[in-house]
Amino acid sequence: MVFGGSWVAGYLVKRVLQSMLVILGVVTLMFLVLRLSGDPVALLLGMEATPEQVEQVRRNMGFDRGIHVQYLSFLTSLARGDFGRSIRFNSPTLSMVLERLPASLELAFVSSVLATVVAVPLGVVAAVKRNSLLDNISMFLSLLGQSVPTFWLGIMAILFFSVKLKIFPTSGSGSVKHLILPTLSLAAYSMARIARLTRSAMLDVLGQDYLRTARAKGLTERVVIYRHALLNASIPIVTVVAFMFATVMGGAIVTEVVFAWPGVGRLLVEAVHNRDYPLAQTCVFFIAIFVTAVNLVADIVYMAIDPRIRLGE
Amino acid sequence: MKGPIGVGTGLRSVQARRLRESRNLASLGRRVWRSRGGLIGGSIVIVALCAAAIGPYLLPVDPIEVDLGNRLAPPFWQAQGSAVHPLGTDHLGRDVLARLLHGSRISMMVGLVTVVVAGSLGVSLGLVSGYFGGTLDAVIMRAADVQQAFPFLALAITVVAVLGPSTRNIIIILGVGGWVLFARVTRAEVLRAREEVYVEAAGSIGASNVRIVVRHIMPNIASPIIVLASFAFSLMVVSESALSFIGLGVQPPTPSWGSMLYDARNYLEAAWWLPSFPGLAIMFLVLGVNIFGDWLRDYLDPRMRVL
Repeated sequence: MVFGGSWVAGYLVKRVLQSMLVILGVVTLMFLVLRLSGDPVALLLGMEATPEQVEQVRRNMGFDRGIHVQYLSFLTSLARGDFGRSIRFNSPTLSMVLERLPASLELAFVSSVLATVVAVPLGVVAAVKRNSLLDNISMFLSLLGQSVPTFWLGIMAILFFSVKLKIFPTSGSGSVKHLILPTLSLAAYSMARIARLTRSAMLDVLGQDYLRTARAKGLTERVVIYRHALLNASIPIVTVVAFMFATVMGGAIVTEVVFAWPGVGRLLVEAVHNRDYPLAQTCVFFIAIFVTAVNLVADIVYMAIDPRIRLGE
Repeated sequence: MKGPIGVGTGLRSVQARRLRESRNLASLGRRVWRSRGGLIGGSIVIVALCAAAIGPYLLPVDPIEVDLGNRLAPPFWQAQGSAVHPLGTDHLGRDVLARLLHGSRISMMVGLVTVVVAGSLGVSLGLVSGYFGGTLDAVIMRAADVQQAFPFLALAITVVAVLGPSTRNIIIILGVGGWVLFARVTRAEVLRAREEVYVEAAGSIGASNVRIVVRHIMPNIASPIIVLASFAFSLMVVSESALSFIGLGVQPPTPSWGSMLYDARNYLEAAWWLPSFPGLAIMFLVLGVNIFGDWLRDYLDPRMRVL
């Protein structure tokens, strides 16, 4: 770290700039998607609008101007924090989304952490005890976990634990009991992916010479596996964990609907059903910001664990 | 794979040989038969394909015919169930088994068409990006970065918001949106293949760029793309069901596994079979495709990692 100090700073600045470029791209894509339908005003107003209303809105929102002018004014209003108003609720979309954001982040964080904490040790043990009963069972379960649609697992969990056994509430949020079923059903898929990848990354590493050296030095098996092997297998593991975080944000949209969880995902689906495009746009914007931030963090973690990246080789 | 060049080319030739072999159906069949994963996964896929192809003829029941006198009938093994509706009926008295069989056609059709669309787009862009490099490569890859900032489903939902929900729009959205997967893998493979001696040799005897890409690079990068296509199919089937489940995909009364789950959401307490069977069908198909895909990857491309 000491020798690579200025390089590290340069790398960080470069990555942050790249992320900002991605955000600009995200904003541009949102701008373009609204124009896919041809006439954004018809979309924003719905079928019942009179021609006078359409003309009024067209002028108010500046749709009569050139597309580059519209794009620039779109960018400047976003920069000022003006994300537009919800068509249905007529309140600023920004505050509506920010209000729902904590619930979504809670769900995403708890299930991602849960998945990682369970799956990484499971993958390590499966690799170390290759072809054992534990390995076979956990790999079969993870194949199954990868094949079950997340939202359907949630429905089945409600059917079994809430409707039949009446242990957990069917929907809503607010207590730990409310959190358990959505988190578990959301974590299952990530858990499966992370466990499988950890296993295969560990298998790649386990046959390497430096592990034989570490054992020859007289290190305990525990230190050999968790310090030497796992650390060297960690780059692909960090990649898949970061990727699963993003996937969880996507899966959470439908899971939030299943459990009536008051997050951004459910807000997004409701907005789309109400043809409330400005609200949907703001929801997706924040989901994209979150994913970009996770990717940035993953890159910084790579740098911390891999000296080759840190030293700029 | 960072290894000596010899190792890389060795594996390449294994891949190329196996890909050639796999065109011979009899020998591919023997390989599948001998392997556990290939056999189990392959059988599930074939059963699912048969169900979609001939199921509706074996069970000539109209999947959208409403019979309000016969609502929410349970499966045959329960007390009020009957053999007329083996898997029961839904809230409008429609036969669940008939809807499952017809739904399998929609789900698989959406899966296949979207993979073909996403594959053609992604492979073309990946080839251009990887082979020519430069500004075009930078533009395509930055576009891929931007798109991957959205979870796949979030982007699909936003576009549905503009285009409106329908089976056709779902195919367009999932198909166009899936290009990134294929473009990234294709590009990485092209970058690797471009350095190989056979490409240089073809170039030095005056083969055109088009000829090098089509005749020399494409056959050598086909294996990972075929494997990816099998996993992309699973992803598309699940995405379609998720979109249909939130009412933004296949629209009623057309049965798809996702739209059946959408219909079932208000009857969890009254009729357990309504949410259970369509989900089991999705799981069965996706599990089969995933097991087969795993086997295919091990068979065609031993150096690829579980992702």
